[in-house]
Amino acid sequence: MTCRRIARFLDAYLDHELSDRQRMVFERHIRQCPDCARYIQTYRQSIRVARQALRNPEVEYIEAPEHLVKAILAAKLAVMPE
Amino acid sequence: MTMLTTPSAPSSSEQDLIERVQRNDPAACERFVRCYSGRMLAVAGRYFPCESDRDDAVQDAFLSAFRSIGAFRADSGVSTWLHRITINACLMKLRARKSRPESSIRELLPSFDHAGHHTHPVASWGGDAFDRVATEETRAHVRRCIEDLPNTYRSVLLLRDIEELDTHETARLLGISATAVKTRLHRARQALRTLLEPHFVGT
Repeated sequence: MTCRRIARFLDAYLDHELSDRQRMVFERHIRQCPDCARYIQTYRQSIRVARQALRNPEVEYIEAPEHLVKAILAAKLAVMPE
Repeated sequence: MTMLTTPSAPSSSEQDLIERVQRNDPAACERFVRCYSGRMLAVAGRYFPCESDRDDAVQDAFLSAFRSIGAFRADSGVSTWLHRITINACLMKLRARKSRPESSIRELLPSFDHAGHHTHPVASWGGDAFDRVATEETRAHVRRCIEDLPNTYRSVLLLRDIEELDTHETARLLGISATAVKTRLHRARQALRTLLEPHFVGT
């Protein structure tokens, strides 16, 4: 098992798609290779960071400004007259 | 996300509204916009911090919805359908922006020597990486890094990791195979990690 193969099968590992034997070999390498251990940790962190940066749980609804409602209805009228 | 995404049939009041919109009833069309724009703006706001870009994307999404509402089937919820349309409008708007060439993804992937070891030592990120995402400055930086990904890789990352659509739904929306989704997602995540690293590497 090499660092290149660890990086290549990382998603399969994180998604629990490896067989028991494959997972054992994978985890043995991670225990012995600090670079791979840090790579996996920072790979997972980057996914979480991206999600946290773009998804604000406090903002699941934004009141539409009146000008936008009017603009949408005007644009709709232009392409689909009543 | 809290937007209703369960694929259940529309309620009778939703069904009634849709039928009236399909008949081009002006009052129903306005109610449709007022009823669903709030959640669509929240989705678009994830992709576009600039309000005018966000509003444009939602306007595009509504026009797309009005054009295709005749084909809307009652086997999935209106919110789920509009969520997909909104994501598509956002992705199209992002695609129109200048971005890195697709081939540039290679320089963002990790490199290995002939024996398969990492070419460069891998550093830890600071333990407060997540606390730092709380600042607007860091959020803006992360958003810029995502925007900096080549188009096809950015699209897959947004759909899988941000919108949390599954592989098959993502493949369907993008018109690519499930295998292509998995390959592109992996490369997108690796590339994003590379782009984020200078900002988060530990102190």
